[in-house]
Amino acid sequence: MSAEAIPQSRAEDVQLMRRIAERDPKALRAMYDKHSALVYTIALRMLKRPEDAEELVTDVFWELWEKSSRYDQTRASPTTYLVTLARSRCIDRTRRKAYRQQLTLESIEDAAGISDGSPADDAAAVEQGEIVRSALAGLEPNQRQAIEAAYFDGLSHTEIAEKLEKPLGTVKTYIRQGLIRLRDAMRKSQLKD
Amino acid sequence: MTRDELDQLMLLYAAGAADEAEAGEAEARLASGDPQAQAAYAEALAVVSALPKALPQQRPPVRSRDQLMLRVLASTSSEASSTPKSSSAAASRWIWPTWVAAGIAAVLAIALTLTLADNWRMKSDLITKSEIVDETYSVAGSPYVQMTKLRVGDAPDAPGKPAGRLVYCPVSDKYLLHVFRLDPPPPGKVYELWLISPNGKPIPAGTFTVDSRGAATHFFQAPKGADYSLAAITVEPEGGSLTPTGEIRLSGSLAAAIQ
Repeated sequence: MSAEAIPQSRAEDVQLMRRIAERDPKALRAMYDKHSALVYTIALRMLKRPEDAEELVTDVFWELWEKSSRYDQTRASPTTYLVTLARSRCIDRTRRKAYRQQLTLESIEDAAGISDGSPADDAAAVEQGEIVRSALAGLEPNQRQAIEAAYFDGLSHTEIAEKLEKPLGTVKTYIRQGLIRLRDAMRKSQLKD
Repeated sequence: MTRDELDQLMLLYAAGAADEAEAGEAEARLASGDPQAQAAYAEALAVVSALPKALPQQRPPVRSRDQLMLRVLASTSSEASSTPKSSSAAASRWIWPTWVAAGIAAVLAIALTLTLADNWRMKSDLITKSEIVDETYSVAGSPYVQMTKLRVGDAPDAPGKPAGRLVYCPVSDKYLLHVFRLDPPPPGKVYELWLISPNGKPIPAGTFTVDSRGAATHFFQAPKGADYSLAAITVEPEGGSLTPTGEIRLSGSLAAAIQ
């Protein structure tokens, strides 16, 4: 895969978003085919239950269709917008149902056995995943766990401190330093999409 | 606040890791229209939004896309046909069965259009609102499509009685089930569709429940080249069964499918 693949992928997404705003269902379907795996993965990670994750995927893309005018390409890439939307809707649901369980990055692999989906094969997504995994691998375990707990589980600093059995100040430092290291690694790879 | 501090603040805020005071600060800066804050937030959002890409990606079940696109096309179709009509309430009641039949046919056909879309190149103007209905009817009348009526026992279709339609596309080996007037399954139970091979072996084809009208639409992707002679719907425990355990509510012979 060439180095231009990710920017090209983003340009295609922007074009799809424009067509979705023009009420073109084929564009929505193309967007779904390209990114539903990412949304489903987020939903599975955050909601745990495959049936809830499946429902959330449908809801997120329906919202993308119904409220397409909300997207502003000058503020975020389509992928960033979609991920933010998915995470936000997951948090809404999680708060509503008030279920929060620990699940690590590794344990999501176990969920593969209960999904009838197949691994995503989009080349750009695979490459992006490798870059982020590499960046995460450079973090200390506590930093990674704290970021995961904040981002995927929506836990507060206090809750993370309890979970990791670390002082509140230490947890804040973990998160701050971890995010900075992640950002720097991604800046280096120029991956921000 | 230095640029570096601003970047860090926005990183924490974008990751959902800011405390109350930090979140308030970030929101105030963004609300003020500060371009530096907005740029920092955009970068932070892009950084944290990349986190899920580190997870092993899993695709949702195929039916999710079918359900989404059915919903989308149903909405565009209803927008196109939402012109007010002057018929009286009495007249509306009189034509109700025709309207229901046409509606069901349209929904089935729209769904089939979508399920076949991977194999059929849809004309570019298919999706325009004015042509959706025409196209869906043409798919419903296509020689590729086979439809089986599902009934209660051997009783013919009758008003008020549960019924179903199972549409099969041999091109994609996909089944679309639509049922009506089924009672809600008992608590802890669901309906399960079975496709029965000529040697009598029942194959579970997915579970579903019904809405307040007793209606449901359900898709099943059969293995390539699979051969079935009967279809049946039973009541099963939530999560479904591997072999039928409950009473048969609807059934039909696929050999009698209408082409």
